[in-house]
Amino acid sequence: MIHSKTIGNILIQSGAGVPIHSAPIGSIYIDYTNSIVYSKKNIGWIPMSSISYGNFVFTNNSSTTSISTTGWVNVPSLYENNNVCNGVRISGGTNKIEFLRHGKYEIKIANTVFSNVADNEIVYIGLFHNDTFTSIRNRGYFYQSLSTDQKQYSNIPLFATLNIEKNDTINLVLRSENSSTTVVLESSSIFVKKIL
Amino acid sequence: MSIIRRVLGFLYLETDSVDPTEETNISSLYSNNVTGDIFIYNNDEKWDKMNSVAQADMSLSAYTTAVSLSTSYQKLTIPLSVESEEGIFASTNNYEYDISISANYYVETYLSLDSNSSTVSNVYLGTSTGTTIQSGNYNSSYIYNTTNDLLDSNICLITTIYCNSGDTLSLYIKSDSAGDIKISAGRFIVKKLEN
Repeated sequence: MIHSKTIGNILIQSGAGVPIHSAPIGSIYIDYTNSIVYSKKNIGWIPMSSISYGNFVFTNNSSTTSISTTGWVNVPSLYENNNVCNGVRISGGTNKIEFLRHGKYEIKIANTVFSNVADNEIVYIGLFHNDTFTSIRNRGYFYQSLSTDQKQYSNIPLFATLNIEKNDTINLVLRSENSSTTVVLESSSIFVKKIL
Repeated sequence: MSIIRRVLGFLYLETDSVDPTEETNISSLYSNNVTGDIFIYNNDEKWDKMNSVAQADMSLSAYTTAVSLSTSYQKLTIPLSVESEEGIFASTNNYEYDISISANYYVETYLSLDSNSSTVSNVYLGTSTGTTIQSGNYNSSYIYNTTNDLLDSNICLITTIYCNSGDTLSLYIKSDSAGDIKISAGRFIVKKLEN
Protein backbone atom coordinates (compact mmCIF):
# COMPACT_ATOMS: atom_id res chain seq x y z
CA MET A 1 0.00 0.00 0.00
CA ILE A 2 1.30 3.44 -0.95
CA HIS A 3 0.48 6.42 1.28
CA SER A 4 0.39 9.67 -0.62
CA LYS A 5 0.05 13.42 -0.13
CA THR A 6 -0.36 15.94 -2.92
CA ILE A 7 1.67 19.17 -2.96
CA GLY A 8 0.90 21.24 -6.04
CA ASN A 9 1.63 19.05 -9.04
CA ILE A 10 3.78 16.45 -7.24
CA LEU A 11 3.24 13.61 -4.77
CA ILE A 12 5.03 12.83 -1.50
CA GLN A 13 4.66 9.07 -1.01
CA SER A 14 5.76 6.16 1.15
CA GLY A 15 5.56 2.43 0.55
CA ALA A 16 7.36 -0.88 0.86
CA GLY A 17 10.10 -1.68 -1.66
CA VAL A 18 11.36 -0.25 -4.93
CA PRO A 19 8.85 2.06 -6.70
CA ILE A 20 7.67 1.07 -10.18
CA HIS A 21 4.37 2.95 -10.32
CA SER A 22 3.67 6.07 -12.37
CA ALA A 23 3.83 9.49 -10.74
CA PRO A 24 4.36 13.11 -11.84
CA ILE A 25 7.98 14.15 -12.42
CA GLY A 26 9.39 15.74 -9.26
CA SER A 27 7.49 13.42 -6.93
CA ILE A 28 9.27 11.93 -3.91
CA TYR A 29 8.88 8.34 -2.68
CA ILE A 30 10.26 6.84 0.55
CA ASP A 31 10.84 3.08 0.72
CA TYR A 32 10.19 2.64 4.44
CA THR A 33 11.49 -0.94 4.53
CA ASN A 34 15.00 0.05 3.37
CA SER A 35 15.09 3.79 4.28
CA ILE A 36 15.81 4.86 0.70
CA VAL A 37 14.45 8.05 -0.88
CA TYR A 38 13.60 8.12 -4.59
CA SER A 39 12.86 11.11 -6.82
CA LYS A 40 10.82 10.78 -10.00
CA LYS A 41 12.80 11.90 -13.03
CA ASN A 42 11.78 11.79 -16.69
CA ILE A 43 13.59 8.42 -16.97
CA GLY A 44 11.91 6.84 -13.93
CA TRP A 45 12.41 6.59 -10.17
CA ILE A 46 16.01 7.43 -9.17
CA PRO A 47 17.35 6.57 -5.66
CA MET A 48 19.12 9.30 -3.66
CA SER A 49 22.27 8.45 -1.71
CA SER A 50 22.88 9.10 1.95
CA ILE A 51 26.31 10.14 3.21
CA SER A 52 28.83 7.62 4.49
CA TYR A 53 32.45 7.59 3.34
CA GLY A 54 36.06 7.25 4.41
CA ASN A 55 39.60 7.47 3.05
CA PHE A 56 42.50 5.67 4.76
CA VAL A 57 46.08 5.99 3.53
CA PHE A 58 49.72 5.39 4.17
CA THR A 59 52.76 6.48 2.16
CA ASN A 60 56.54 6.00 2.25
CA ASN A 61 56.44 2.56 3.85
CA SER A 62 59.78 0.74 3.41
CA SER A 63 59.21 -2.36 5.52
CA THR A 64 58.95 -5.68 3.70
CA THR A 65 56.09 -8.16 3.88
CA SER A 66 56.77 -11.87 3.42
CA ILE A 67 54.36 -13.53 1.02
CA SER A 68 53.97 -16.99 -0.46
CA THR A 69 51.88 -18.93 -2.92
CA THR A 70 50.00 -20.87 -0.24
CA GLY A 71 47.79 -18.24 1.33
CA TRP A 72 46.94 -14.58 1.75
CA VAL A 73 48.80 -12.41 4.29
CA ASN A 74 47.69 -9.08 5.68
CA VAL A 75 49.15 -5.79 4.47
CA PRO A 76 50.86 -3.66 7.17
CA SER A 77 48.63 -2.00 9.79
CA LEU A 78 49.68 1.51 8.85
CA TYR A 79 46.46 3.15 7.67
CA GLU A 80 45.48 6.57 8.98
CA ASN A 81 42.42 8.73 8.37
CA ASN A 82 42.87 11.11 5.46
CA ASN A 83 40.76 14.17 6.26
CA VAL A 84 37.31 13.61 7.74
CA CYS A 85 35.49 10.27 7.62
CA ASN A 86 31.75 9.85 8.13
CA GLY A 87 30.31 6.47 9.13
CA VAL A 88 33.49 4.48 8.44
CA ARG A 89 36.58 4.00 10.61
CA ILE A 90 39.78 2.02 11.12
CA SER A 91 39.04 -0.96 13.33
CA GLY A 92 41.10 -0.63 16.51
CA GLY A 93 44.73 -0.27 15.35
CA THR A 94 44.44 -2.91 12.66
CA ASN A 95 44.52 -2.80 8.88
CA LYS A 96 40.75 -3.35 8.78
CA ILE A 97 38.19 -0.76 7.70
CA GLU A 98 34.93 -0.97 9.68
CA PHE A 99 31.54 0.24 8.41
CA LEU A 100 29.14 1.81 10.91
CA ARG A 101 26.13 1.95 8.54
CA HIS A 102 24.69 -0.75 6.33
CA GLY A 103 24.21 -0.28 2.60
CA LYS A 104 25.78 -0.79 -0.81
CA TYR A 105 29.28 0.71 -1.03
CA GLU A 106 31.72 1.49 -3.82
CA ILE A 107 35.31 0.64 -2.91
CA LYS A 108 38.31 2.10 -4.74
CA ILE A 109 41.87 1.29 -3.76
CA ALA A 110 45.22 2.46 -5.17
CA ASN A 111 48.40 0.59 -4.18
CA THR A 112 52.04 1.08 -5.06
CA VAL A 113 54.16 -2.06 -4.71
CA PHE A 114 57.89 -2.37 -5.32
CA SER A 115 59.96 -5.50 -5.36
CA ASN A 116 63.24 -7.06 -6.41
CA VAL A 117 61.74 -10.52 -6.45
CA ALA A 118 62.78 -13.32 -8.83
CA ASP A 119 62.28 -13.18 -12.58
CA ASN A 120 58.70 -13.11 -13.78
CA GLU A 121 57.16 -13.03 -10.32
CA ILE A 122 53.53 -12.01 -9.99
CA VAL A 123 52.20 -10.31 -6.86
CA TYR A 124 48.48 -10.37 -6.09
CA ILE A 125 46.52 -7.89 -3.98
CA GLY A 126 43.16 -9.22 -2.78
CA LEU A 127 40.20 -7.93 -0.78
CA PHE A 128 38.81 -9.65 2.31
CA HIS A 129 35.27 -9.00 3.57
CA ASN A 130 34.69 -10.08 7.18
CA ASP A 131 37.99 -12.05 7.08
CA THR A 132 36.90 -14.03 3.99
CA PHE A 133 38.35 -13.65 0.49
CA THR A 134 35.86 -11.97 -1.84
CA SER A 135 37.45 -13.20 -5.11
CA ILE A 136 38.21 -9.53 -5.84
CA ARG A 137 41.90 -9.24 -6.73
CA ASN A 138 44.37 -7.66 -9.10
CA ARG A 139 48.03 -8.34 -9.83
CA GLY A 140 51.34 -6.72 -10.68
CA TYR A 141 54.03 -8.31 -12.82
CA PHE A 142 57.73 -7.94 -11.94
CA TYR A 143 59.67 -8.93 -14.98
CA GLN A 144 63.25 -9.42 -13.87
CA SER A 145 65.62 -9.31 -10.93
CA LEU A 146 66.77 -5.81 -10.24
CA SER A 147 69.42 -4.39 -8.01
CA THR A 148 68.35 -2.34 -5.01
CA ASP A 149 68.86 0.93 -6.87
CA GLN A 150 66.73 -0.28 -9.76
CA LYS A 151 63.54 -0.96 -7.91
CA GLN A 152 60.60 -1.91 -10.03
CA TYR A 153 57.24 -0.47 -9.04
CA SER A 154 53.73 -1.44 -9.93
CA ASN A 155 50.57 0.57 -9.33
CA ILE A 156 47.86 -1.99 -8.60
CA PRO A 157 44.29 -0.64 -8.30
CA LEU A 158 41.25 -2.51 -6.97
CA PHE A 159 37.65 -1.44 -7.61
CA ALA A 160 34.59 -3.17 -6.17
CA THR A 161 30.98 -2.80 -5.03
CA LEU A 162 29.91 -4.65 -1.86
CA ASN A 163 26.73 -5.04 0.15
CA ILE A 164 27.70 -4.13 3.70
CA GLU A 165 26.04 -4.75 7.07
CA LYS A 166 26.70 -2.60 10.14
CA ASN A 167 30.11 -3.47 11.72
CA ASP A 168 31.33 -5.39 8.64
CA THR A 169 35.05 -5.05 7.87
CA ILE A 170 37.25 -5.13 4.78
CA ASN A 171 41.03 -5.44 4.53
CA LEU A 172 43.73 -5.91 1.90
CA VAL A 173 45.84 -9.06 1.57
CA LEU A 174 48.86 -10.14 -0.48
CA ARG A 175 50.26 -13.31 -2.02
CA SER A 176 52.64 -14.37 -4.82
CA GLU A 177 52.25 -16.60 -7.87
CA ASN A 178 55.46 -18.62 -8.15
CA SER A 179 57.53 -18.61 -4.98
CA SER A 180 57.85 -17.33 -1.43
CA THR A 181 59.33 -13.83 -1.51
CA THR A 182 59.10 -10.36 0.00
CA VAL A 183 57.53 -7.18 -1.31
CA VAL A 184 57.12 -3.66 -0.04
CA LEU A 185 53.65 -2.13 -0.15
CA GLU A 186 55.02 1.39 -0.26
CA SER A 187 51.71 3.23 -0.31
CA SER A 188 48.03 2.39 -0.20
CA SER A 189 44.84 4.45 -0.29
CA ILE A 190 41.46 2.87 0.47
CA PHE A 191 38.37 4.92 -0.37
CA VAL A 192 34.85 3.72 0.43
CA LYS A 193 31.56 5.51 -0.20
CA LYS A 194 27.97 4.50 0.36
CA ILE A 195 25.94 4.34 -2.86
CA LEU A 196 22.60 3.26 -1.39
CA MET B 1 13.07 25.49 17.64
CA SER B 2 9.65 24.13 16.90
CA ILE B 3 9.42 20.97 14.88
CA ILE B 4 6.63 20.71 12.34
CA ARG B 5 5.51 17.15 11.64
CA ARG B 6 3.13 15.53 9.15
CA VAL B 7 2.17 11.83 9.03
CA LEU B 8 2.72 9.86 5.80
CA GLY B 9 1.66 6.27 6.39
CA PHE B 10 4.15 4.69 8.83
CA LEU B 11 6.60 7.59 8.79
CA TYR B 12 6.83 11.33 9.41
CA LEU B 13 7.71 14.30 7.26
CA GLU B 14 9.43 16.79 9.56
CA THR B 15 11.13 20.16 9.42
CA ASP B 16 12.92 22.41 11.90
CA SER B 17 15.74 24.96 12.02
CA VAL B 18 18.41 22.57 13.40
CA ASP B 19 19.78 19.14 12.42
CA PRO B 20 17.66 16.25 13.79
CA THR B 21 18.65 14.39 16.95
CA GLU B 22 15.42 12.84 18.25
CA GLU B 23 14.42 9.22 17.68
CA THR B 24 11.48 8.79 15.34
CA ASN B 25 9.84 6.24 13.06
CA ILE B 26 12.10 4.37 10.62
CA SER B 27 12.40 6.06 7.20
CA SER B 28 11.03 9.41 8.39
CA LEU B 29 12.22 12.34 6.29
CA TYR B 30 13.50 15.59 7.83
CA SER B 31 14.40 18.94 6.30
CA ASN B 32 16.62 21.52 8.04
CA ASN B 33 14.87 24.71 6.91
CA VAL B 34 17.99 26.86 7.56
CA THR B 35 20.72 24.84 5.78
CA GLY B 36 18.50 22.98 3.31
CA ASP B 37 19.99 19.64 4.33
CA ILE B 38 17.72 16.58 4.00
CA PHE B 39 17.94 13.61 6.41
CA ILE B 40 16.38 10.14 6.58
CA TYR B 41 16.06 8.05 9.77
CA ASN B 42 17.57 4.75 8.67
CA ASN B 43 17.21 1.11 9.72
CA ASP B 44 20.18 1.50 12.09
CA GLU B 45 18.06 4.11 13.91
CA LYS B 46 20.34 6.99 13.03
CA TRP B 47 19.80 10.12 10.98
CA ASP B 48 21.51 9.90 7.57
CA LYS B 49 22.13 13.12 5.67
CA MET B 50 21.38 13.02 1.95
CA ASN B 51 24.06 14.20 -0.47
CA SER B 52 23.49 16.57 -3.35
CA VAL B 53 25.33 15.67 -6.53
CA ALA B 54 28.44 17.61 -7.51
CA GLN B 55 31.06 15.97 -9.70
CA ALA B 56 33.20 16.63 -12.75
CA ASP B 57 35.45 14.66 -15.07
CA MET B 58 38.30 15.75 -17.34
CA SER B 59 40.32 13.45 -19.62
CA LEU B 60 43.57 13.38 -21.55
CA SER B 61 44.49 11.19 -24.50
CA ALA B 62 47.25 11.00 -27.10
CA TYR B 63 49.34 13.79 -25.62
CA THR B 64 52.87 13.41 -26.93
CA THR B 65 54.70 16.58 -25.90
CA ALA B 66 57.38 16.13 -23.28
CA VAL B 67 56.83 17.54 -19.79
CA SER B 68 59.89 18.76 -17.90
CA LEU B 69 59.92 17.67 -14.27
CA SER B 70 61.97 18.97 -11.37
CA THR B 71 62.49 17.73 -7.83
CA SER B 72 59.88 20.20 -6.55
CA TYR B 73 56.16 19.86 -7.16
CA GLN B 74 54.92 21.89 -10.13
CA LYS B 75 51.37 22.32 -11.35
CA LEU B 76 50.39 20.01 -14.20
CA THR B 77 49.24 22.45 -16.89
CA ILE B 78 48.31 20.20 -19.80
CA PRO B 79 44.84 21.27 -21.10
CA LEU B 80 42.29 18.47 -20.63
CA SER B 81 38.97 17.64 -22.29
CA VAL B 82 35.94 18.31 -20.10
CA GLU B 83 33.79 15.16 -20.11
CA SER B 84 31.11 16.15 -17.59
CA GLU B 85 30.32 18.89 -15.10
CA GLU B 86 27.55 18.70 -12.50
CA GLY B 87 27.96 21.35 -9.80
CA ILE B 88 31.77 21.44 -10.20
CA PHE B 89 33.30 23.29 -13.12
CA ALA B 90 36.67 23.28 -14.86
CA SER B 91 38.66 26.50 -14.81
CA THR B 92 38.98 28.33 -18.11
CA ASN B 93 42.47 26.85 -18.51
CA ASN B 94 40.90 23.35 -18.58
CA TYR B 95 43.42 21.70 -16.25
CA GLU B 96 42.06 22.51 -12.78
CA TYR B 97 38.70 22.95 -11.04
CA ASP B 98 37.04 26.04 -9.53
CA ILE B 99 35.43 24.97 -6.24
CA SER B 100 32.24 26.81 -5.21
CA ILE B 101 31.08 24.74 -2.20
CA SER B 102 33.18 24.25 0.96
CA ALA B 103 33.23 20.48 1.58
CA ASN B 104 35.24 17.26 1.53
CA TYR B 105 35.96 16.10 -1.99
CA TYR B 106 37.01 12.78 -3.51
CA VAL B 107 39.75 12.96 -6.17
CA GLU B 108 40.45 10.11 -8.60
CA THR B 109 43.31 10.48 -11.07
CA TYR B 110 45.44 8.27 -13.25
CA LEU B 111 48.23 9.08 -15.69
CA SER B 112 50.05 6.93 -18.21
CA LEU B 113 53.72 7.95 -18.01
CA ASP B 114 56.15 7.40 -20.88
CA SER B 115 59.88 7.50 -20.31
CA ASN B 116 61.50 10.32 -22.27
CA SER B 117 64.92 10.69 -20.63
CA SER B 118 67.38 8.56 -18.76
CA THR B 119 67.29 10.73 -15.65
CA VAL B 120 63.68 10.44 -14.51
CA SER B 121 62.86 7.46 -12.31
CA ASN B 122 60.51 7.93 -9.39
CA VAL B 123 57.54 10.17 -10.29
CA TYR B 124 55.08 11.65 -7.76
CA LEU B 125 51.53 12.79 -8.52
CA GLY B 126 49.63 14.90 -5.98
CA THR B 127 46.58 17.12 -5.69
CA SER B 128 46.21 20.33 -3.74
CA THR B 129 44.47 23.71 -3.51
CA GLY B 130 47.86 25.34 -2.92
CA THR B 131 51.50 24.64 -3.52
CA THR B 132 51.89 22.29 -0.53
CA ILE B 133 50.98 18.63 -1.07
CA GLN B 134 49.62 17.17 2.16
CA SER B 135 50.54 13.67 3.34
CA GLY B 136 47.98 11.27 1.90
CA ASN B 137 47.30 13.46 -1.15
CA TYR B 138 49.95 11.93 -3.43
CA ASN B 139 51.10 8.63 -4.89
CA SER B 140 54.29 7.57 -6.68
CA SER B 141 55.36 5.33 -9.52
CA TYR B 142 58.62 4.34 -11.13
CA ILE B 143 59.83 4.48 -14.73
CA TYR B 144 62.57 1.89 -15.15
CA ASN B 145 64.99 3.21 -17.70
CA THR B 146 68.17 1.77 -19.17
CA THR B 147 69.67 2.04 -22.64
CA ASN B 148 67.78 -0.94 -23.98
CA ASP B 149 64.88 -1.24 -21.57
CA LEU B 150 62.22 1.42 -21.38
CA LEU B 151 59.21 0.61 -19.25
CA ASP B 152 56.20 2.88 -19.28
CA SER B 153 54.29 3.17 -16.06
CA ASN B 154 50.84 4.02 -14.76
CA ILE B 155 50.23 6.09 -11.66
CA CYS B 156 46.90 6.06 -9.84
CA LEU B 157 45.88 8.56 -7.16
CA ILE B 158 42.79 8.01 -4.99
CA THR B 159 42.36 10.48 -2.16
CA THR B 160 40.12 12.95 -0.33
CA ILE B 161 40.76 16.63 0.28
CA TYR B 162 38.88 19.50 1.95
CA CYS B 163 38.29 22.47 -0.35
CA ASN B 164 36.97 25.90 0.53
CA SER B 165 34.65 27.90 -1.67
CA GLY B 166 36.81 29.90 -4.07
CA ASP B 167 39.67 27.37 -4.05
CA THR B 168 41.24 26.03 -7.22
CA LEU B 169 41.96 22.29 -7.16
CA SER B 170 44.98 21.26 -9.23
CA LEU B 171 47.28 18.35 -9.99
CA TYR B 172 50.98 18.56 -9.12
CA ILE B 173 53.86 16.40 -10.33
CA LYS B 174 57.56 15.99 -9.56
CA SER B 175 60.36 13.42 -9.81
CA ASP B 176 63.38 12.38 -7.77
CA SER B 177 65.68 13.90 -10.40
CA ALA B 178 65.04 16.50 -13.11
CA GLY B 179 64.20 15.33 -16.63
CA ASP B 180 61.49 14.86 -19.22
CA ILE B 181 58.56 12.49 -19.38
CA LYS B 182 55.61 12.16 -21.70
CA ILE B 183 52.05 11.73 -20.50
CA SER B 184 49.96 9.79 -22.99
CA ALA B 185 46.65 9.37 -21.19
CA GLY B 186 44.96 10.43 -17.99
CA ARG B 187 41.84 11.30 -16.05
CA PHE B 188 41.04 13.91 -13.37
CA ILE B 189 37.74 13.19 -11.59
CA VAL B 190 36.35 15.14 -8.61
CA LYS B 191 33.23 14.38 -6.54
CA LYS B 192 31.77 16.25 -3.57
CA LEU B 193 31.33 13.93 -0.60
CA GLU B 194 29.12 15.93 1.72
CA ASN B 195 26.92 19.03 1.63
